[in-house]
Amino acid sequence: MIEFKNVTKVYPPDVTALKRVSLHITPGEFVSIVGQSGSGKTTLSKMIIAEERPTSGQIVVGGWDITNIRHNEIPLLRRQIGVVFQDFKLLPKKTVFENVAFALEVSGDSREKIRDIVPQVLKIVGLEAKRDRFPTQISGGEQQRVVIARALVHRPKVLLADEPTGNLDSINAQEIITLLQKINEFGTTVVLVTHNREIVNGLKRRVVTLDHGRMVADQPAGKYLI
Amino acid sequence: MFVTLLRAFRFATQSLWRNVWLSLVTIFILVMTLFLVSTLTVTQVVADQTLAAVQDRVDVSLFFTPDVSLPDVVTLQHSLQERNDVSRVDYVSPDDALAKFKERNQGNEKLLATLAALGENPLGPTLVVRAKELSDYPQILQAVNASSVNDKIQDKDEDFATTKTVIERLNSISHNIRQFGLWLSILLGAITLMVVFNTIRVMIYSQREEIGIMKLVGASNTFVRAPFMIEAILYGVIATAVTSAIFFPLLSLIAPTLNQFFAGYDLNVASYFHAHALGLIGIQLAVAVGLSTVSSGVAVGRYLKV
Repeated sequence: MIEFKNVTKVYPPDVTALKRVSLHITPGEFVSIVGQSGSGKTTLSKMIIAEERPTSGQIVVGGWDITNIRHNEIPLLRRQIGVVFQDFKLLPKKTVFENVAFALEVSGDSREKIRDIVPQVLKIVGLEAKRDRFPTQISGGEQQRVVIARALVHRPKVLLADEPTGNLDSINAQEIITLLQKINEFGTTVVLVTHNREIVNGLKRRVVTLDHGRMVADQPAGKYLI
Repeated sequence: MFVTLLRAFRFATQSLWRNVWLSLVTIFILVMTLFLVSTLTVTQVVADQTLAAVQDRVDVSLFFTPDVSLPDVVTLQHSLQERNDVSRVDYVSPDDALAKFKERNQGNEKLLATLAALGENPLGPTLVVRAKELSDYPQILQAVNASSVNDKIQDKDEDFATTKTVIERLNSISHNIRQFGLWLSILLGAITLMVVFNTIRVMIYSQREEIGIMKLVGASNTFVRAPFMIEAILYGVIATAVTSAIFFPLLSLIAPTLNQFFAGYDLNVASYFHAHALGLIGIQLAVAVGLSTVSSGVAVGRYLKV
């Protein structure tokens, strides 16, 4: 599903964010990418959605070599990857329903499709009753669930969650992780980028550990090492 | 495609409304530019039509002695008509000439009494010659002087020289207006480009969050850019509508004054512009939409990295 072959990323003038990272994630996996700040986790996740390009090496997503992806192909890639960020990135003037529908609207999907899919994903994340609320009228955990719903509307093959629990308390954080596990059970590959030791240890799934841009461990049912 | 276009249009109107004051200032600058372009067009048309009207009034009258034979006059008329530099040659009979003379001197009782005392028409026939160009008159007169009936011409009304000076002055004024208008239009056009550029830049900045999310969820590059281009087109269309709504009623308002000024000439500014309203609105629209989309395109290219 996702393959990094000897990927190195150097930010000018000489900051090396990733050093010869090789990683293979198979379809349906739940992988946690862990490491301290500055370890290269965010750079790695940005490369998966082609927000950054590698200095050397090769990246393949869903059989598509995106190492030198063209600008006009990036939207197509991003429709195949659902993205969840720590800071939610919700539009405050839109309701829960409108925020989720927005992803389909800007991709040119029909009104019928929007009316059909959005309630389904809101049901998956348990927010069908709050579809007409604005982001400021719901909790942080619920806001993050809206973001997950928005990431799911394109029925992506991969869900990339970059520190999705960073702004949440432990109860809400656990709810989000449970939701990600549920999504993974439906067959979606989940890549969780985090530095939350408790969550990673509780998952008992594959853990890839980065340190100073190098991949220092890759455990099938691992724990947070650093 | 149609759905995408509709959505881009909706985002454009939302953006325009969210920054309504900035939009109004941009539209105001565009209206000013369009108003200047329209006013200059009116001035140019008035100047050109005045020139044409004055030029149309210039002619040379050849007054023949009463004893001239009609075939001689007709021969000269035909020979002049065959010339390439002559536009028209009108024959005025002695009777018509007398009638016109009497009409012109209606208040002059003494003159009319003297005319009556003569008992016969003292006027001969007249040929009224109109050249195609003002500069053609001297050579036409040379041809008249060389003709066999020249000794039967008692007077030649050669006022074209004075008119030529007037026309040259009008031409010079018209040229100066055009030059001044051109530079002023360029200046205002440049200001408009900068204002629209800045407006779109601010719009992009104020919507950076929305744009970021759009890109994140897979909006195409065209879709991200389209609302800003549509917004620029909307500025142009609104500015054209506002300008037309002010310009044409204003023109109707000042039309009586203009018509009074050009009394006697075949010139009606208001009716001219009402007849050419679509063309003028088309020019306004092309200028407004052209300026705003070019400016928006540059701003989007520079500040909206997709």
